[in-house]
Amino acid sequence: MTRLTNIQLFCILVITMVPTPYQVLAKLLAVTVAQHGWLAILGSILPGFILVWAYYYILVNSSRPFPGLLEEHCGTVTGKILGFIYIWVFYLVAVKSLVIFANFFLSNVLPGMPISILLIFIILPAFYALRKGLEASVRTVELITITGYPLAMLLLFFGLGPETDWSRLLPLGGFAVADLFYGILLVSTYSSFMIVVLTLGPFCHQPGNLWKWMFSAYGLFLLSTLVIAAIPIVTYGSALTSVQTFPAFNIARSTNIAGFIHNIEIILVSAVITGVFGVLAIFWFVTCYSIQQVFGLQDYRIMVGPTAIMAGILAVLLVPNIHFMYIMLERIFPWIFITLFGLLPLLLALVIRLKRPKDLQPGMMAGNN
Amino acid sequence: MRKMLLVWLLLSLLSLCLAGCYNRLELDDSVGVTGFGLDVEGEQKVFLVQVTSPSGKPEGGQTAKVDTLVLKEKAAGYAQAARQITLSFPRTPVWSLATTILLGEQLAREDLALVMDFVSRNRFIRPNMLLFLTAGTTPEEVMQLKTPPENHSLVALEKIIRGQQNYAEIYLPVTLREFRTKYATPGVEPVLPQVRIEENAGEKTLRIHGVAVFRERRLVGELDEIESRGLRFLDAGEMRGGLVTVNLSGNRQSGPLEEMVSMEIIRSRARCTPLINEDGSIEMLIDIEADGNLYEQTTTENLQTTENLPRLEQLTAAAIKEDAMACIKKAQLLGSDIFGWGEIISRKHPAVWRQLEADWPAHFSNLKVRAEARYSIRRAYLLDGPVPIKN
Repeated sequence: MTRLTNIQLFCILVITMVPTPYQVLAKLLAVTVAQHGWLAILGSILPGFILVWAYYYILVNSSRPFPGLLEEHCGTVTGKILGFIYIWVFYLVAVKSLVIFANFFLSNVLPGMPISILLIFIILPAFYALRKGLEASVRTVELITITGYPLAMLLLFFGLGPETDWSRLLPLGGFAVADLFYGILLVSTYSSFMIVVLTLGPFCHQPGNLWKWMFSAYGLFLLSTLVIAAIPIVTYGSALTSVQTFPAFNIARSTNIAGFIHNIEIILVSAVITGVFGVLAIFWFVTCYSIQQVFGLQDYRIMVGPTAIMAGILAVLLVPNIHFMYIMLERIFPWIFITLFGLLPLLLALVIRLKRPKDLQPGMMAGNN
Repeated sequence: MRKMLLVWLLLSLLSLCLAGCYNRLELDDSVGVTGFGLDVEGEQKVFLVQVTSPSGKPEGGQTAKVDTLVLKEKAAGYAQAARQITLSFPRTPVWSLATTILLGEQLAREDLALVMDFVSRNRFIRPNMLLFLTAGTTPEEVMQLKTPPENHSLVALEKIIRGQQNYAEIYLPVTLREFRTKYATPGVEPVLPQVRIEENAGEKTLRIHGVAVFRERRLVGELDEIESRGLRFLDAGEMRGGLVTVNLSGNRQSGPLEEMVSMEIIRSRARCTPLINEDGSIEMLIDIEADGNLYEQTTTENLQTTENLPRLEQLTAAAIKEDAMACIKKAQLLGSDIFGWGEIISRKHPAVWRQLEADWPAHFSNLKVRAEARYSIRRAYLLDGPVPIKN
């Protein structure tokens, strides 16, 4: 059985949570709560901690990786049905990351490039990594996190110009509470991508320390989203941020280091490409692994080929244009993801807690017994 | 076998990259762009582009002579006009090299909305490009002007505004990003440095002269040199450099020449605080803090004494306040909140702002302002007193 180090799991969690918000969260929050995006992020801390607790609690009380553990706790029929639903939702996240990236790339970098070629260049390496096995994918994700993440964040800071005004994050009042809650929901959507830990956590070397790495990854996610949401606001103000398709890219376009290093947004593009590869590879793996679990297949790798072709086709068909993509990101996906990645696991954790006899210690984790 | 097939497939795909970049542009097929000009003529939008045109290969160690070429097209939209340029020009302009945008006065008087979408949506237009308004002239005339030693007037313009930042310190360069942000943010209006063509002894030269003031998407007036300096003093960020001339007689404009003293500003910063009075009226409290050096004196009196230094500090502070007040007065006259006071009120007193927002220009014009300026002398460069005069 493949074993992951805790730092590798930390990298996986960071790469599943951060790249998508990096591209779209600033705009989504500006549209929803204007300059109060940072407040929504702070408001999402508690739900996030509860999610981390729920995932960890499910992990230590299950003997099989997700979605197999659903059968363990909910019975075979319900578990299989839920598992089947989860396969599609994991797949949806993978396809969604492709859709966002394709729109990002074709809006900002090479508008004339055929979308099929672009998708092939992203899907092919992920396909190869998945075929090589989990170890290859995770090692790549580890390298991407260490190299791409700091670069992408640094570029946002370099983009801060002399006109930056931190007081644009104020005033505190003047927002509808419902909007703020919706902002919290949007942020929590991306923190709920941490659900991959239920599938990958059992592969860890030291499952006892897992909670520390989960909290660290979540902490880094919070910090990153704060930067991602705040920098476009302090630079452009909420009105302009809300009409930009990809605010982070616009910040990087303004980068001017010491008056002679500029036009370096292509570095951001390369960091985003690797990040999207990470999200795609991890969620694609979880999809294939879920198929294996639900349908009792011997190896998940036989599903990589068919799902690759389908991912490419779906990425083209899922949204007709960027306007519709943002409608999906703003109004449809959050509800799907928060229900299946947030509420259901939380419910599951509570069910496990209630069903567990009081004198029983938490069970052994999958792959550890 | 399958592995071999996969490797072959990968190598085949990677070999596509050997042909070079997807959207490569050969040097011989392209031409550098120094900047654009945007204006309107009647119902047509005018797009101008200044390109570098190498006019021959250098010989025997000479450097290549580079001519300025200005291309002009008119259409219903700027993007359309820009693309029409390729109908008559054989090379592909490299738009991303452009550093300057000139807005025509006619366009600025008509409506900025005519141009804001084009400069914000187009990915070739970089957010850190510098913006200028052509006053009393057109973008085309400015672009055509010879500006030795620079080959291109738009490059010269960029160097002038950056250069004056270190010496004259009157005008603030405005980037597209800043202009766009102020354009879209309630409670603040954008400004632009103006460029004029002046004629001296039959020779035309470029000069940055005044600051264009906008209100609700339209050009409504301008600040002169003193008011522009005042605008600089009122900027919330830390300003570096500048020179203020004071007169020991107290009369800055027409005091005796031998009593003129030039005070250098090393740094200055303004704090603007809105004060809501009990009767609901708003007062803006402005506190300008600056420090600097004694730079030049014409009087033979020793100014570096315990008695004279505070006097000099007071005179300089008064001069700073005078410039700032002149700017405020002009902005209020034009009804344009170029200082972003509305934005400050909206952050500090959102409830008050909600009442004022609809008719902010009128409220701004009637705003009471209380300004204070403080100046501290730090050093006096190479002399510790006036140059001694014999006998």
